[in-house]
Amino acid sequence: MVSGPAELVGRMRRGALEYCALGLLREGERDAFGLVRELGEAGLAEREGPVYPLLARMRHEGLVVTTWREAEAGRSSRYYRITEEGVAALDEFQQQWVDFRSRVDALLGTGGAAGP
Amino acid sequence: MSVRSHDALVREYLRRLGWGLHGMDPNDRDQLMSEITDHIARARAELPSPTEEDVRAVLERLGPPEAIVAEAAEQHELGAQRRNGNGKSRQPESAKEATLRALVDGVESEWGDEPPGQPGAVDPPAPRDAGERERRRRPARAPAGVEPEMRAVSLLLAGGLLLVVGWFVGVVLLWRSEVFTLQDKLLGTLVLPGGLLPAVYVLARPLGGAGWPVRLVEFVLCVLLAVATSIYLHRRLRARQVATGFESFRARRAAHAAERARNEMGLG
Repeated sequence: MVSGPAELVGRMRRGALEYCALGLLREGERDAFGLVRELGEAGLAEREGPVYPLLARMRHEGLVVTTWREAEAGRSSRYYRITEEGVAALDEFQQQWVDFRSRVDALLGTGGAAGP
Repeated sequence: MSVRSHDALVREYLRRLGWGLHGMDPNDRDQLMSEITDHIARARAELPSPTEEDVRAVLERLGPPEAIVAEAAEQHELGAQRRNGNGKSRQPESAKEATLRALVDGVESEWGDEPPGQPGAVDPPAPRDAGERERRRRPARAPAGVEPEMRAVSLLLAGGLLLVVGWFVGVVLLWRSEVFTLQDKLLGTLVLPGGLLPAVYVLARPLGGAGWPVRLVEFVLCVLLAVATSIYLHRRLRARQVATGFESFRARRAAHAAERARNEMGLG
């Protein structure tokens, strides 16, 4: 049960997290640590650990592919790369998000005109 | 605090995480554990001379293991819901549906709380691009291999046969556990002290007036009591694991999703 606007927006942020991760990956391949850290610093993930199961589901759904590579001191790190399916999903979400955001902004008077 | 103590903090964190993920697909579990282990190592490597507070801050920023377990269950069920019933990978929805579903899923789920869930199908294997292979990663130190509680149960049963001291080690592990209740701890300590050792003593002591039939009955009773206690503690451990870990979150997610479906049908 949502208790107020702040919590609602927080949960919407969480719902969009998947596409924000895809948006970062569209810029280029990223290692898991860097990706999760950047999402956290952008204020999209309050805690970093739960992002990893989200990335696992995205991997299972074919939105991203991963490789393990040797890093330093014999340690391996996982690198994420967006797939064509991930790009298509991101494009769809982006289109509808802009429309949704502009309509809400128009009704709330927070800027932006309503979409077509 | 020494580096060894810092490592102990991390080991305990990973132990709790591994324990909570029991019931998850083993491959998915191993991969998640590897990623979390690597994350902690990377975060610690960024710190020039980490103190205890620094290590704790790394773990706090990661979030409690229980939150990761809850999210793992949530994402597992979300993936199952997005697939159609025949197990195919996600079919493209309309763009509007995709947007609304992403937002609704975020609103409907309970990040950080104990999310309800539904029994889901097994996830399809991760797709592989041509020319790319995903190498299975095993962490340098196996997290949550044999939990201390399982070690305690084994030592309480057979530790007395290892120069007696093994049983005492089992008692220490039993009483240090945060999983077993006071009743479990008292039962594990008192039934029977020494585990199987009393049964060995019964066989080894000089024959008394009662003879072999009585000795045999005593031997069997000692063995049965020790084994029954071991089975009881193992079942208590497993029940607690199921009640608080991955499977529990999935079951509650199932109830929530079923309730949503009933509500949607009622509104439709």
